[in-house]
Amino acid sequence: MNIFLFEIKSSLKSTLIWILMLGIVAFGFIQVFPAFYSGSAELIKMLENYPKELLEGLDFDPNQFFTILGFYSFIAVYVQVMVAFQGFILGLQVIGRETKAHTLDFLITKPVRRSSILTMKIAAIFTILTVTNLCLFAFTLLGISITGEAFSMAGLILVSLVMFLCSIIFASIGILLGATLRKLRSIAPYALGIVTGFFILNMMKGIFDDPWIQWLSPFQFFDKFEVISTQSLDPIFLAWSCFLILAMIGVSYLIYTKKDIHAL
Amino acid sequence: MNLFFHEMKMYWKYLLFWSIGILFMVGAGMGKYAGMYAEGGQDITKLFDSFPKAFLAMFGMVNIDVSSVGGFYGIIHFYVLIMGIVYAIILGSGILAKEERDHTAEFLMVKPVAKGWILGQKLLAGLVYVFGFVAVDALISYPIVKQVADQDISNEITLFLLALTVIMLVFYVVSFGFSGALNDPRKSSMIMLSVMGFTYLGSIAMDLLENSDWMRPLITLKYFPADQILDSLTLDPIYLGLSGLLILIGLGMAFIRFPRRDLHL
Repeated sequence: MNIFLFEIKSSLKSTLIWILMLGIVAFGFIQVFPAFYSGSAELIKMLENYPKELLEGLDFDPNQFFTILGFYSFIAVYVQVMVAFQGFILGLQVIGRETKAHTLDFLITKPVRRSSILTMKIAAIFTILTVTNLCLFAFTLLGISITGEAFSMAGLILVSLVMFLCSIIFASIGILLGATLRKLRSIAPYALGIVTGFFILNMMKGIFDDPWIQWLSPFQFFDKFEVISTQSLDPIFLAWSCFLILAMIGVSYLIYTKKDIHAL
Repeated sequence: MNLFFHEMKMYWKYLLFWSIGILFMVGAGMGKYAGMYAEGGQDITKLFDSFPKAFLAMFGMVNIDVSSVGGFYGIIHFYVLIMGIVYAIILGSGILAKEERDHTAEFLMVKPVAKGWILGQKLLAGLVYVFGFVAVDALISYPIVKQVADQDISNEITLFLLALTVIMLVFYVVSFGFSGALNDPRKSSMIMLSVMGFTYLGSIAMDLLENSDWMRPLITLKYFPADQILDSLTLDPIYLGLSGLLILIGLGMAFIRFPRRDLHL
């Protein structure tokens, strides 16, 4: 329990900053909606004259798109990338803290099993991420309510759930890396390489539209438009996400409980 | 010169990995162009022209003619630019701060050289790698675009590369400045990454909103936007000046503050 509390305490300040930043970004982007919506009535009319195939080709349904949730599900990807960064950085930081500061040999000599060290650290990570995502959800809900648009609560919850899953997946990647790496100097290069890499892959999905990429890039597991219009999460990718999370954490346990500890 | 060559040796492997990234981005992207738009892309362009700005922003193609080679290259190059900035930040905030991070600063500082000399050598080595990144991009872009293009756009590419160089220099030197000036130089990378994140979000907001030009001086990513490069075939001199100013500020932070501050050991 001490380790759990210690980790929560160490991450408290940065978590508050993250929550604040996420809240501001989500809230701010949602307030763009009225400006965006004002010209849309004519546009929808205009779009109805275009061939259906073209719009389907663009994966685009105007009636869905010009609702507040449709708009949110577009901008949500920018919030999602921040959540992913937070998850990854937190995962790597909490698990790699001892490796980074060369204090693992002190921790290991305490009368606790390595597996329970890892369990407590992972519990701390998941607690922080859950709290962050709940706060983010509250900010989003507040932002959407202020615009006064009608929206489906279930849709909003599902989109928020997609983001939460994404942050957990990136946290698991961070955990796995933290358990595996023998040397950890600074976290930023790893976070940038991995999260930004997947993000760019996602932003260019119009260009790289091969179907196998969808399995690879956590940002693309769930198409948020589809989530809203069907009001459900694709069960195949839900299973795939859970599998990835469990597999990465499982491997982390195997590695962490067996690895050699290098004293300074 | 020893320090310079030492730093040069340390970083070539990273550049190699980044080169693979650029190759993938430009190669695969332009390959898609050859397949997708080369024939009969005109209708789509006309359609896009009638859409409002916010709508096109969703697809990242404000004011850009995606069906032309130049426009398509411009979109891809935006992501190469982001990669370049990330590279510049890692390089700039690492090359000086790593001595303090790895506790080797005390070994370096006892050598009979001035702190300013150390700064100069490190700055120079990093600059070579910034130009190296651009050179790799050039070596990849020119031949690949030539393969798929129906018209000659080497002037446009040259301008895109120049814009990349200037923006990378800004981020490199300012990160370098922060790692020199801050009492905890390890914070430099996180600060600069947050700056980059907000610049990116700001560039999206700029695309979403009408009449958002007043934001531009704050958003380095938008100093030399692709549509302007393609339209006017020049880099905006005002923003070149502003970039120069930012670079001077970065240099000032490093060369004035670093020789005076205590090392963090």
